[in-house]
Amino acid sequence: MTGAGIAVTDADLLAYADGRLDGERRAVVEAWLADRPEDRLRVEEWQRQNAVLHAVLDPVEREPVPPELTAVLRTAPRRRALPDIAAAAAVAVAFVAGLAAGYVLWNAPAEQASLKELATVGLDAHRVYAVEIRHPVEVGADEEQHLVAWLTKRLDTPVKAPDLSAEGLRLLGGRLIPSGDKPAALLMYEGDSGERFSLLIAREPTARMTSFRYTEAGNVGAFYWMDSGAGYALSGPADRNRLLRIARAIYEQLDN
Amino acid sequence: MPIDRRELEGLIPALRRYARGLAGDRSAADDLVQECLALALDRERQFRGPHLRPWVFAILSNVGRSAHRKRARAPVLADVDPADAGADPATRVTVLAALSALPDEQRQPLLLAAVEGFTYREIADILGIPIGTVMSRLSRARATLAERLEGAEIVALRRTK
Repeated sequence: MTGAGIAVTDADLLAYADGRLDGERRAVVEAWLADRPEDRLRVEEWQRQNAVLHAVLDPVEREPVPPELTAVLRTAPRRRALPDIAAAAAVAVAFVAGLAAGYVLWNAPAEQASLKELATVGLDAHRVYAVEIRHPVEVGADEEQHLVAWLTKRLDTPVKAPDLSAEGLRLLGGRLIPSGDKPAALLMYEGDSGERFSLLIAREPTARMTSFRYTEAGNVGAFYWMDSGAGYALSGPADRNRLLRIARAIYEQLDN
Repeated sequence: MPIDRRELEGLIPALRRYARGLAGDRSAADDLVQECLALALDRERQFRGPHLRPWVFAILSNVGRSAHRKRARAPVLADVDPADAGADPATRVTVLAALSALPDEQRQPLLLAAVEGFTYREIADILGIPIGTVMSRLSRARATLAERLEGAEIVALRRTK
């Protein structure tokens, strides 16, 4: 009997069931199984599990990929061009502070939650205020200086109203809205055909730069992202390309 | 090192499959994938190569682990979409429910080995655990799954191999 003297472990049986053994070892396991019906039953059960899991999950792989997933890859903002030494130092600092690279990943959930919430708050506010004919904003663009100073004070973070005239949008004004238990700023813009876009700005002291994410509900869509110290959500009619152009313009203007 | 966007895009179908096994329902799974892709781009500098696939699956495993903790054992809503080919809806619900009853630490190595075809060595690296731990978790996952699926009516399966 080949390999009768070599103990066959559970790990061997698992590897056999998963088809991971080379010829020689496989022969040893097969010889072992020939005499042990109870192990053979287990191996067959595991192979049946593999078949079941493939049958249930493989169809997912053949589904068309939802466009919002491929959009993530196209919309990531370019990273700031740091000089190499500064970049290396930043990595080193992040590494030490995080104790291990795993830190950044473990830290992600909190960031993920507040990011998603940003989009929800932004979309909700947009739906409520963008339809207002007479009172879409609390403070109008004619008092832009006052608006910006007021929001900066309440949010405790610098608020600027990006100039979106290159995108065919003019500032209507802004208002203070609640985001969770914190104040946030909502700036409203209007285009030539009366279409409106809202930019939510919330203070996020621990925010690091993220990519753009896109979400859509009904006929309203939003791009949302974080940059150092603040979170942003741009909501408007669900035209992804136009929203993205505007989001990029905002990102570039606020990026300094 | 910079990651190849096209290669990353090519991994999306497999990432969606893994995520569906982790999260059960489609929209929760696609949220995980979206987060995973965004993180992969954000963390591009941490990619040391040589292979993108295990690195991205490691990110998705992390995202899935924390998401699952947060969901606090919500019931499985396996979406029953008639457009889906493959196993019949009852089988799908049964299997996804059995999967969701496993702890993450068992579900992840099981899916990576049985469905995604990673080697045990790769799984150890992806999950950041010793290979012996991979084997013992796989063993427990398979034993629990066998109990859960016992007696359940599993139909419309094609046999593999």
